[in-house]
Amino acid sequence: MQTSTFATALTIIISTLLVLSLSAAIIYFIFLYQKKKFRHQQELIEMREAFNHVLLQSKLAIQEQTLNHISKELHANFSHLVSLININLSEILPKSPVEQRENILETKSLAKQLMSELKALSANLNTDHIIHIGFVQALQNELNRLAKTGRYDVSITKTGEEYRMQPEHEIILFRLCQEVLNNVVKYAKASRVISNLSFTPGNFILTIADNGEGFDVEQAVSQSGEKQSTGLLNMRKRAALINAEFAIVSHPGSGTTVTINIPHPQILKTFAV
Amino acid sequence: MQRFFSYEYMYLLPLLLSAILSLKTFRHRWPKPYKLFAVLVIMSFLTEVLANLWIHKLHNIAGWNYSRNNLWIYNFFFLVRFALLSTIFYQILNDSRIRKIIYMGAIVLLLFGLTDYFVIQGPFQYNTFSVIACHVSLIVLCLCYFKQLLQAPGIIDLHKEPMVWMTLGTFLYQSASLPFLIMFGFLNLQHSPLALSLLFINDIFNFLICTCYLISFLCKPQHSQPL
Repeated sequence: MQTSTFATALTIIISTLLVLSLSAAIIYFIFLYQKKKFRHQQELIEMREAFNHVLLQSKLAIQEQTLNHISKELHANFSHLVSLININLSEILPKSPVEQRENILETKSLAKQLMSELKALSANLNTDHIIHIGFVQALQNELNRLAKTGRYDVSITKTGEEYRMQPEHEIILFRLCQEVLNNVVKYAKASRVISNLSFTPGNFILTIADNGEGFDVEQAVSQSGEKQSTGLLNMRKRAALINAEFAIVSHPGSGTTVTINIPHPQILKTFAV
Repeated sequence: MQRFFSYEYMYLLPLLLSAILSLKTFRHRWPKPYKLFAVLVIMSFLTEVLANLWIHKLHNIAGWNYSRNNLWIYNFFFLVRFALLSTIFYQILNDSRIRKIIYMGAIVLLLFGLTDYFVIQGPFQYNTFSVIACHVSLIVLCLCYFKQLLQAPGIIDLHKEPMVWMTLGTFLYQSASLPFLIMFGFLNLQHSPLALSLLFINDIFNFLICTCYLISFLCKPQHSQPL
């Protein structure tokens, strides 16, 4: 009797342990499978991000090539044509009647103005030129062009010891600024544009502020799909490409401030301010 | 009171805590299956309290003199528990074929369980027939839920999902205690001291399932992330 009781108890305990082990193995397999699935998902996300990164870089490279091409065309063909117009006008001038000379002189002056505008535009579009003069000078030129229109009171301030960053980073940063300034001209209805550049070894901070109408940033982002507007999205993507933090602070009626912060910029050269 | 500090009542602590925590399913308006799960945990706790009080006090209070046997409470609660778990699985499983089987199967098993309770084995004897049938069907339902999780197009953090912990606890308890429960009814009739000496197996798994329930109410429902 004693033996059979012991055998029964042992049978129950062993079978319980066996079933428990089997159940634990099933649970372990489920968790393991899910972990693998999760890792696979992470890999997929990383691949997608890498693909988007490459895609954006290619798009920007194509854009730069196109802008370069337009810049060279403007410089070579259009400037040449304007020069020819100017030469022709100079030839016509002595032969023309006195009463028409004033008009011809005015046309000559307009042609000269057109020539300088074309040169400035060509320079702004030319990647090599921007790399040559550097981001700070290029931004200053762009702001000067804005000031020349007479519609804006423009100011630029610099703090810290100025330095140059990687050329491709400077190009992306400059195109980003062009987009910001383009938005100021198109939508802001501002009379004042203030730009501040802060150089520190650990951070490069650029701020562009205007005193225009301002807008609701959240609403603009949420409605960008409906309005097929990709401006804000493009700016954020460009900033992400150079590991920059991009922030827009704006409220209806109180202007807009755009801040671009590049933590740990890759410094190439430094200049004393 | 001191007897409640014995190891066999240890499972009451996680059960009490999970019953308290389960109240947040109503306050935070969690989906219906989670609320049903909370009802199940609260009912489990109340049943345990009632069953233990019955043995020690209630069977002999206010002039009553009933048997100390509290199996009639556990046998009845077991059917209620099965009905609640079947409803939860009916709601969380997506396969319409399985849902139909749950609907029909649960009704049949509950009718059989009631027959067993009142006619075949009676309320004062451990209802082994219905217990085994319900245990096996609950194990299958747990496996169906795990299969659904593995085949789901999205992904969730398994260890953060309350329903996973609930199913995990239920699966471990139902499967691991099955060999013991199959024998329990028979041993209880033939060799009662042996049946009682092996009750520690049930106590261990009771503690395990209550701990899983407690963990489940410490988590929040997860939303599946698409791949």
